[in-house]
Order: sequence, then structure tokens, then C-alpha cells
Amino acid sequence: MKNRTAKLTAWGVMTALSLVLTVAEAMIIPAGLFPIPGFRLGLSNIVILISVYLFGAIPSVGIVLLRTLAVFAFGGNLSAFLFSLCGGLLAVFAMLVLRQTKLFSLFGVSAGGAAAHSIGQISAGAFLTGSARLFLYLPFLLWASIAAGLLIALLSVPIYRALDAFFKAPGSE
Amino acid sequence: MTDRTRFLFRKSAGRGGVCFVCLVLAFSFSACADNASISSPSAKVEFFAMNTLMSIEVRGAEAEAAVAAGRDEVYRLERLLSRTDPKSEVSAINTAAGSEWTEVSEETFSLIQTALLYSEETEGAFDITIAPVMDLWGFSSGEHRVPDDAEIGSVLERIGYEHLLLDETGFRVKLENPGMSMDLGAVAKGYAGDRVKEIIKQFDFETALINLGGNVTVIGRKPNGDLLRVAITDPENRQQYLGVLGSEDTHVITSGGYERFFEQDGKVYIHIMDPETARPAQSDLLSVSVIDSNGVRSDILSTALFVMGREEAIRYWSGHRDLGLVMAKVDGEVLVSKNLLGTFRVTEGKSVTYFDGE
Amino acid sequence: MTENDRPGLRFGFRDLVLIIALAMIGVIPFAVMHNMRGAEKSARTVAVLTIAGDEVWRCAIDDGMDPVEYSADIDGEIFTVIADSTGARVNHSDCPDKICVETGTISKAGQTVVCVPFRAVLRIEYADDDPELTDVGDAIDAISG
Repeated sequence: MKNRTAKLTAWGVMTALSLVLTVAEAMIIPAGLFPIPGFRLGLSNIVILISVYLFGAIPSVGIVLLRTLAVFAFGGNLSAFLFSLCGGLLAVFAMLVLRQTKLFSLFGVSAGGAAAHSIGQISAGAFLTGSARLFLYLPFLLWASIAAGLLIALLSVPIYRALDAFFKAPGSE
Repeated sequence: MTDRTRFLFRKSAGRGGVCFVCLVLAFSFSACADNASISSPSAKVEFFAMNTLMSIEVRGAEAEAAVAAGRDEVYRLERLLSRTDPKSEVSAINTAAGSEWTEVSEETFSLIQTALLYSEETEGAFDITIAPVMDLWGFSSGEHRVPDDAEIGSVLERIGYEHLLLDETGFRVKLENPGMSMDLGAVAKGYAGDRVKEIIKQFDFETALINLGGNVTVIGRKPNGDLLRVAITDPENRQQYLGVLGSEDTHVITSGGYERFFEQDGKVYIHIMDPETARPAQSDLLSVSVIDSNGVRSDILSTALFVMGREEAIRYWSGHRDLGLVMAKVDGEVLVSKNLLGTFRVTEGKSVTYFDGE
Repeated sequence: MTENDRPGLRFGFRDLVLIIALAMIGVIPFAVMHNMRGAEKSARTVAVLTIAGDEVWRCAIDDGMDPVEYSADIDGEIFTVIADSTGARVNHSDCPDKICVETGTISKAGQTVVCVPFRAVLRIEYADDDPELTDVGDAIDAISG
């Protein structure tokens, strides 16, 4: 991946994928499936997780920013935007840091990102309402998110294998 | 074929990638078509009708139209059933009391018929001919007063559901004695709840919250899948709640003396009358909430069970175990029917008894 | 891309330690809140008065505030409401039944005082009326009774 165009294309495709996964998730998983308000499976985190490994810090943060902005532009409301921006950025930073330590597998990194996401969400909510009581709700969201993070990691493993092989294929050099 | 494409077709790992991309493409096409479902519109109307504040709130594609149709239905029923509107069918029956039969719509007829059935079932604790008693105590005009025994004696002769006659062949109604008067006030809001619910269900909607002066009807769930939370007022302290009910497709209707009353010489007189004595009901209950899928039934029974008092109310429930019942006793204890366990959460610190029959 | 950048693709012991540590974070708010009981602050509320559907007055309810009074003249008849740190109430009404005055003080979001003759509604609302936020905690959707 030395070619600049190839890089940009790859980043663009990944951004599109994360956006599509966000929308697809909203469509195929009914809002009431999980009894925890504010909780989502976060399928698009597959893309973020893989980007963190394949592309590094700047493109990963860029993908999060673009995805959040695009969802907002397609008819999200302002508070939901602030929630997902806070959560999304914290999550990607957490994943980048955990990856740098080289202590953890894809599973640990994903779970860490998910946990950071829920902490970011609750913090944004508490900030907007001025009510610290919202933090009492953190454990439920946090534990559900960690479980979701592990599931995301599980889904990411075969996809990561495929993409890693793809980018390292002879033709891509 | 380039090296790369050949690679894609040869290696199974690459094939996984292709499948993934195809899947994602398929989603991206369908995603464009359905953007509206992510955030449904909602609408709310608030208006005065049937002598109280009403609100209808709907979330869903046709929310605007649904709330407007709901409000129009309430207005229609008010014109049909109001005792104070001289043009209503109820007024026509009252004007002809003691003289002739009045022909009414099938709708009004069957509502009166239902009310009479409940009068029989509750042995007169519920009575739509109680209106002259309400007038006597000044609850109709707002000029409250305590009548003397002679007045009570005379008004007792002008009430009694058994003197309300029905002629099924021609949808005709007659009050037997002059001076009698009927009032569907204790059924009208419950019936309106049923009707508005039916009307809203004809539209494309997800959630509806109907509040007809404290008679609450909920349909569906919140966008996040949660149940709607209906609080029941604590009659001892109206700032507080007895508890909160998580509900879906149900009516929650409460009757209590605290809603309307007056005080004279240190004594409190409530607006719920006991048809047997023509005086305010001497109940050992402060309020009764009935949770049921039928609004008329909830409305009638909330009044009737209040008049009956704790013991008889529980006995009645033993024969009708599909009802949800929340009752506040004068000593502050909250009585909850066992079938609401897990659905109704009593406010912390309240003493509560779950009853399961006699 | 270098070899040592490859992620471990298997769940390892260190992952388990990390996950347990993360799960523990969720307990912190309970511990903190437990120590700060009493200092806990609920969502801010406002009192809103509407007459015949039009909002005529709005007043934030704050701890330790001085009482704020508002009088409405409805076709020559007087209707007075007061907001203070305990909530809001109808202080005086020239209406015939006085049910609104008897209702007393309201303080929780969603509660209302209604005066049918004057078509007046005094209600308490959340200051930031965001349903998604008020869903958390003790928010209710309707009051029966």
C-alpha cells in the first residue's frame, strides 16, 4: 500500500462500509430488541477495529468523524450526534492506545473500545442534562457494550484475515 | 486478468472479502429507500372537552392525522353524551323524564345498556341516575352545600337505575319518574378512551398515549422498546405517586375522593356519591385504579369499587381476576392485585399488600 | 505493514484481565453516589402556564429561589400562579369551582394543575425537554388520577 491513491481508496471504502453498517444495523435490528436504552450492537465498529490495525491512527479517527457527521446529515438529531461523536471518538482513541501496548488481542482491543464508547455516551448525557444520576445507569450499558465488543471482535477476525491478505497480495504493492 | 483479480478468485480468504463487499452493497441499496423509519414523526394535541383537560399523543408515520381524528371523535362523543349540552341525546332523555320514551342512536343505547349491566353486577354501587344527588350537593354547579335530611329523603326517590327503562326493539330510553336525570359522566371518558384507541389503530402509527383528564390509555411501546410508564397519583399527597405501572395496550383509570371535594365545618365531602344513601361515599379507600383493556369497564369499576370499599372490592376482584387493581386505603396502605406483580412498582417507603382473592 | 503489527486473533488471558477491569468501572458510580447521597441533583424543571392553548408564562424552578408570581387577567377575572423552590401552584382563581386552587403545589415533571373554566393549564416540565434523556431515571409518561 505505498500508492497514495490506493490508500485513499481503501480509506474511502472503509468509511462507506462503516456508514452502511450503521444504517443497515438500524434497519435490520429493531429498536426494541435490547431492553437497554442507548445500547446498540455497533456493527460499524468492525470497520473501525480493522482500520485501527490496517491503517493506524489518523485514518481511523477520520472514518469515525465522517461516519458520525454523515449519519447526522442523513437526518439524525443533534443530541444523538453529540452522543455518538463523544462515544465514537473515545472508542477509537481507546482502541488505538490498547493496540499500541501490544498486550491484547483483537478481543481486548474491541472490548476496550466498546467500554470507552459507553462511558463517552453517558458522559455526554450527563453533561447535557446536568444530572450526574445518569451515571447510575453506566453498569448496564457498560456490561452490554463489552459483550457487544467481544462479538464484534469475533465477527472481525475472518474479515480481518481476508482484508489483511488482500492488502498484502502481490498486486497491491 | 491481473495478478490481483486472480488472487481474489483463487484464495478462499479473498472470496470471503468479495462476499462481504456484496453483502454491504446489497444493504446500501435498500438503505436509501427507507430513511424515514429511523426517526418517525410525532404529534400531540391538547384540548378541553368533557369538562377536563385531554391530550392525545401519537408517534408514527400518520401521527398528525391520527391525533386530529382522535380529537374529533372526543368532540363528537361530547355532543352525543353531554348532560349540559341541551342538544345531546342524554339531554333529550332527561327532558322527557317521567313522560315519554326517547329514541336514541344505537351507540348511546348500547352504552346505557352496558352501564345498566354494571349497575346490576355491582348491586347498585354504580348508578348513572345519580345526577340529581350531584346537583343537590352542588357538584354540578360548583356551589357546594350540605343538604338537610328532608332533601336527602326526597332525592332518594328520584334516583335508581331500575327506573331507567330500555326498549331494545326501537333503541328507546325512558326515565320512569319526573325529576329523574341520567349522567354518563362516569362512563363517557372510558368510552372515549376505547373509541380514540380504535380510531388511532386505523392509522399507521407506532405508539399512542391518550390522557383524558387522568384516564390514561397507552398503545404500543416507546421507540427504544421500553414500556410506557404510567404513574398513579397518591391521594394523600398529590405531588407523589402510589407507584408506576409499565403498560402496553391498556387503560389505567383512577377514581378518588381527592379529585373533587369541599369542606364545611371541618368535615370533608367528596364528589363520589353512594347511590344507597345519596351522600358522599363513606369508603375506607382513598382511590381505586383499574387497569384493563376495556375503557368502559375500567371507568365504571373504578367508581363502583371505590363506593364498595376494600372488602367488597376484593371480593369482586376474586370473580374477575383479569382486572388489574391498585387501591389506596385510608391508613396509607397500598393494595395491589397479585396479577400486577412485576408490572406495577410501588413507590419506595409505601406499605403494600398484594391480594389474591378473599 | 510490519509483522509485529499483526494483532493477536485469539482471546488470551490478558484480554480476560482487561475485560474484568473494564467491567469493574461500572461499579464506580454506585460507590461514588452512595457517598454523595443528598448532594445528588435531579434534572432541572420549569413551570409553564398556558391559557387556551397559548403559553403565557414560563419560570425555572431552582433551589433557594424567591417566589415568583404571575397574574393573568382572563376577561376581567383574575388567575394567579406562584412558582418557588418547592414547585408551582395556583394561588388564586376567580373561577367558580376552585378545583385548581385546591389541587395545591406540583413539583414533578409531567404534573399539571388544570382550571377548566379558564382553559388554563399549569404544568411542570423538564428544563431540557429531551425525551431520550428523561427516559433514564424516574421519568414517567402519564399520570392517572
